[in-house]
Amino acid sequence: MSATLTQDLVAADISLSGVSRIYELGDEKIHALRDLTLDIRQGEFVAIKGPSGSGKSTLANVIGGLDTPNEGRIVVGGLDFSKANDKQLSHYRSKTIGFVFQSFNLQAHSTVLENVLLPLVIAGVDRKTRMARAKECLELMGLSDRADQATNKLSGGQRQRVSIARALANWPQIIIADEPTGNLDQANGQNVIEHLTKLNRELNITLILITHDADVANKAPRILEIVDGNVTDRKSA
Amino acid sequence: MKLRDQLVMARRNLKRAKGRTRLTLVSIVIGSFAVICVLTITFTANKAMSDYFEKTGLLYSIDISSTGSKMIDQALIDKVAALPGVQSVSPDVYLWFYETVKYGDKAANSFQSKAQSANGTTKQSIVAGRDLTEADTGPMVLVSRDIANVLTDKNPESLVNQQITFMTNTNYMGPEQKPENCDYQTNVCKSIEVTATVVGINEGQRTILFPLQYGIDQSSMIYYNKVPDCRGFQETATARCENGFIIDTHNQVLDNGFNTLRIRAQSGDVIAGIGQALTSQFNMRDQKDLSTEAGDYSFMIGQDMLKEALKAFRVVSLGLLAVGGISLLVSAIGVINTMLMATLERTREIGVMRAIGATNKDVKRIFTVEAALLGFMGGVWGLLFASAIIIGLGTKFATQLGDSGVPIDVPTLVTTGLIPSSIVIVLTTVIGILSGVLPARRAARKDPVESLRYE
Repeated sequence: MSATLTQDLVAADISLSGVSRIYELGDEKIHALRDLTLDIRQGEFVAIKGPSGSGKSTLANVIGGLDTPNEGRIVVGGLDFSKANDKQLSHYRSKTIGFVFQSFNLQAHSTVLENVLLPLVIAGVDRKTRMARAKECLELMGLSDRADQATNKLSGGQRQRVSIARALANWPQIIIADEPTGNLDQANGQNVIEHLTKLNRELNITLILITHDADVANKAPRILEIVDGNVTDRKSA
Repeated sequence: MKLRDQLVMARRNLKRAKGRTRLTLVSIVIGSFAVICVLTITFTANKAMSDYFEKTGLLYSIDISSTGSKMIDQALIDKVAALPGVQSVSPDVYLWFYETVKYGDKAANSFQSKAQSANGTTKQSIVAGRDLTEADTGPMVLVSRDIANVLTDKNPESLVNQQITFMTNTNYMGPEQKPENCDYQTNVCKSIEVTATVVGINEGQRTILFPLQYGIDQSSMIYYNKVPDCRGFQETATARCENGFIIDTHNQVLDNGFNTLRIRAQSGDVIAGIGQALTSQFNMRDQKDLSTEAGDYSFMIGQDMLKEALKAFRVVSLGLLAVGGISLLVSAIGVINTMLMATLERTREIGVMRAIGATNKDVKRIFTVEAALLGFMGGVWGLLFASAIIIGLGTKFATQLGDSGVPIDVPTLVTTGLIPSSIVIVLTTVIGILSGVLPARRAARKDPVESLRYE
């Protein structure tokens, strides 16, 4: 692992207390998260599993600062979300979090390199540094030879690795992977999980893995199971 | 996010939807093209008009004409010349009897022959040869370039020091006319040829200038009356009887006065004072002042003529600009539509951008910069097209315009018209920014979670 990948790493412990997220669908109120209290320490590998619609992605989104809970308090690395403005939350998503999505969410018409550069461009990193960093991330994911290729020419496994490289770009302390293997075959899924666990192991990056696949979840030392918005710690390291 | 990166991103995003971008650009290009053309013509024409007035001295001149009750005679000329602030005066005599001018086998019609003082009251832009001087009193002429071009097949310099021939009309009974050429019942005479030497070529328009004295001399008309014999005829100062003809001589200028009188002021500052003196001392009326009663004379101040001309031109320009403005307004609607479609199409991308750290402001700026870039590119293309057309037409017609005395050439079109008109690029960019505000705001307000789920 390259030295630059470890830069700026400071503890980003996650603390959720009494967090509820309620969606309103007409007159109906849906409790995606119910009075959820949870702590995740820097460097942990946590799998969040549960059936479809149980609130897994909502939990990932509130931890990632993309969604705002109706009740409760979330503090990550000292940043209290309830007191943070858009700029602070965006900075948090840029610098602390790396998202990996099930459907990759890559820019299809852009090259692999351009996709990985995007978070660095948004963060305002200078040209030379961001180019070096993007190449470093691609090398880490074994995609150096694909840098100039359009992402829509890649296989699903390769696209997800581009997505991980993009998530890594800004030296995050936490990676939230929402069903990263959901669109992949078993071999490619396995490969992606290996890459993610390697990052957790070698770089002490907190890995929050959302999955409904028990086999994938079982690779994590700690599993949080969500059912109807309630969370249960099933296994601890 | 750095502005340079936003520009790169905007360019890339616009290239993604090439067809739509081109269509939107076309509407901006049409609008900016129209506005640039109108502004270029307006700026250049204003400059050309002002330069023409400056160059010919019209800017510092006052033209006086009689309203009929009193004539412009030498006494009036002397008094006007003595007014404070007057640098020089020059009366005009129209030589109305020269119908055609010929040189070799070439001929020109439709020109104005007039005589005036060569004392600098009206400045001449000499192209070849020399200007008339006060020492010139005989048949010597300064020919405008357009006529010289006709007479020499576009080699006007070759006319200098050459003799040209004027054909008189049938009413000419001046000093050169012979009695036997005329029908004494009707006073209609044969056309005769009068020669003159060309001393120079100027930039005037369809004009041939003679020395003032020559004009006065040629205005002396002789009327013949055939009588059985001269016995008992009493000679007068103007009439005598010879060989059965009563010869009655009348100088039209001395009897009826000069056609017009031009004053050249020492500077622009004294013109108003001269105008006041003309009104109070000679019962003259300023033509721009329609409310006053008709006086013995009327006068027109050159600066007012320029102002009137520019005002009329401004009205036409504003009308044309309004048409260009409507085109730009339509293009603004096109930009809004394009950007709204882009925000919808890129909903998921907006979600990803938010997930990887873009602030609301970043998203807003990405779309605003994109709209601004559309406006900027439209303005630039509009300028390029307008430049090509204007320079092309300017190159083609510059000679004709130059011959007519209007100093419009390609460098003038570029420096006076196109360069200041390029401000339109700023206008189209601002229109782009304003058109992008609504779509950009809508994009920035999108919920990131909903955006990421968008199919």
